[in-house]
Amino acid sequence: MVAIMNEALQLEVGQRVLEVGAGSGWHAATIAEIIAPLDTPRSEWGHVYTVEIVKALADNAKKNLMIAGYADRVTIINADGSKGYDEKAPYDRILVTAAAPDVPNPLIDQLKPDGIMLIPVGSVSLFQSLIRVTKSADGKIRQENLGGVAFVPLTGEYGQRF
Amino acid sequence: MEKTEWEKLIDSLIKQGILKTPKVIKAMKAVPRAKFLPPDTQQYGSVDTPLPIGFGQTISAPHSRSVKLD
Repeated sequence: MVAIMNEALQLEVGQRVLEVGAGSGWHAATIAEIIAPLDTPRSEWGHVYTVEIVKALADNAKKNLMIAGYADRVTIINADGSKGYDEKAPYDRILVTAAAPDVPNPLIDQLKPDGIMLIPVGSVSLFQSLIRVTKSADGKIRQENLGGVAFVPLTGEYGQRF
Repeated sequence: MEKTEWEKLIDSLIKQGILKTPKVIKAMKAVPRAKFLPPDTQQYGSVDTPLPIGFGQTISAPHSRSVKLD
């Protein structure tokens, strides 16, 4: 899934990326390798902001990323990422790593023109559709279905209702 | 030099046509999943399946969407 999403995100050096759901921190690290590679001057680096609602996971991801050498390229925030992370918006790319009932409006608002968002949308039952949301330069929103996926549920204000 | 299990997995994702872009391939190779797994599952880091990371959550598979869909 990480391989598929990283291909579909069209990542470039220097991009500002929002990840909703840090999990272990691994996906964020693979993105940091593309948008802030060590063989590029630090002034050209992009940054990954990853929001994790479960405190214990956020702490664990932070530790993992520090040990693996990504502390200055990835920032972990322990908060409700279903609302995005307005403090560092707008973002070139947004990826959501949990299944949402719909595309949350705050995430659309926090996407830059020419931005791309990947988000699994569907019910809490096993399968969802991976949706690619693109915002054109003049702000028009387009959604395409990239196929069936299986993610854990998104929680928080714009998450699943149980 | 003998390839690591992680490098073999990435090679297989390239062969399947899932990984295509050189910089994405380079990035995936650079970050073995095992580094982000709890000690009791690290040995499965290069197996293409989701794994538990505690707190009721999972780490994504390198590729597989789910066994049922493939």
